[in-house]
Amino acid sequence: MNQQSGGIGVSKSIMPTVRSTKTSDGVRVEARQDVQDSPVFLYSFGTFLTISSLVFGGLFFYLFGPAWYTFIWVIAALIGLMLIRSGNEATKLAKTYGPPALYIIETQLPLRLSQRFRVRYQQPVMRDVRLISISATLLCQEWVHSVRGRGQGRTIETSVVWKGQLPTQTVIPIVNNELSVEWDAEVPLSQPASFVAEHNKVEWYLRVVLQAESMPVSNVVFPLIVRPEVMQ
Amino acid sequence: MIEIHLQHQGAFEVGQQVKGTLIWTPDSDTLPRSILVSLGWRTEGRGFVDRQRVASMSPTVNRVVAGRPTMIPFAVELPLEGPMSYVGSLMRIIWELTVDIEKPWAIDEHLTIGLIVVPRGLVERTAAASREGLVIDE
Repeated sequence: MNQQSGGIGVSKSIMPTVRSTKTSDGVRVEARQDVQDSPVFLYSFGTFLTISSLVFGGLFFYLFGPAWYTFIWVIAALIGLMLIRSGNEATKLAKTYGPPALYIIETQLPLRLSQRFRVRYQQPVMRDVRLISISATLLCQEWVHSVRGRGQGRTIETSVVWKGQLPTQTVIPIVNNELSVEWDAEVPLSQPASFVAEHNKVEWYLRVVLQAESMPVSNVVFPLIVRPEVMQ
Repeated sequence: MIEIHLQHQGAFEVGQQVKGTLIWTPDSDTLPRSILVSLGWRTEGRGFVDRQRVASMSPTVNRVVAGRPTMIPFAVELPLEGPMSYVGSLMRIIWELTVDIEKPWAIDEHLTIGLIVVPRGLVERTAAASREGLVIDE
């Protein structure tokens, strides 16, 4: 009996890609940046939605009078205004805080299950603000791409698998216009490792929430990688 | 009829070799066109299905006798990066070892068995914990 091994195709990696660099302070992880959260997108899309809704709403009102479908444009205009307001808040945050950075100290990415690790969150503070609190949450989340309703549309569903709240700090040291906060965290042994496929994902994040007086809440998300290996 | 006997019982760790013997009892003396042993994972649940074959091998047999079991050893390796088996609220990750026997002018035969894949080092960690009388925190 002969055997031919092989026939093994090139497998696609199922580990997520995270933008990170090795520095003397540890591994620097870049925050996740969603286009839809950027001030430019929020302002431009909000303004477009508001103006077009008002124009079309006015036209419909002029042609058909106060019918129910005239008011859909009012709702669309309100959504546009809310986007502009969000754009305002994003601009205010961008002018107050510099780019955030997360350092994973004395360990490497990817992390492993049951691994304890220390992180340092650093962010320039460019204006005089009174910081109230900073908190961080380590979380694992499922993400699936599914069909909505009777197969008419596609949607993304998420579910938090596990989350661990790290201690909230109310005394936030700012040295040379930069805030710096450290936390100790642990990846639980019983949780899944990172997994990324086309329609299904298990993702790990560290979410940092910063609150300051008279400022919108700053919410920064750092993607992490956990490999299926137990820390001995 | 196909049977699969695995050398290792219980869960497999990522990176581990899945070794065993495929026992095939053919119903005729005709040699199969191909035998394929493949290892792969697939997702189940609310989302669209993702699947990937991570390893496969094609053993060849030189002679088969109708009604007499033919033993075919195989070994395929689980990738180090996984994924590990998983059951969540939206999705599940299922590992499967599949045997496909393609026969000329006859109905092909297939057999799929499920495997449990756990993180690397979990078995050692659990053994160490039980030696020390500890309970692994779930």
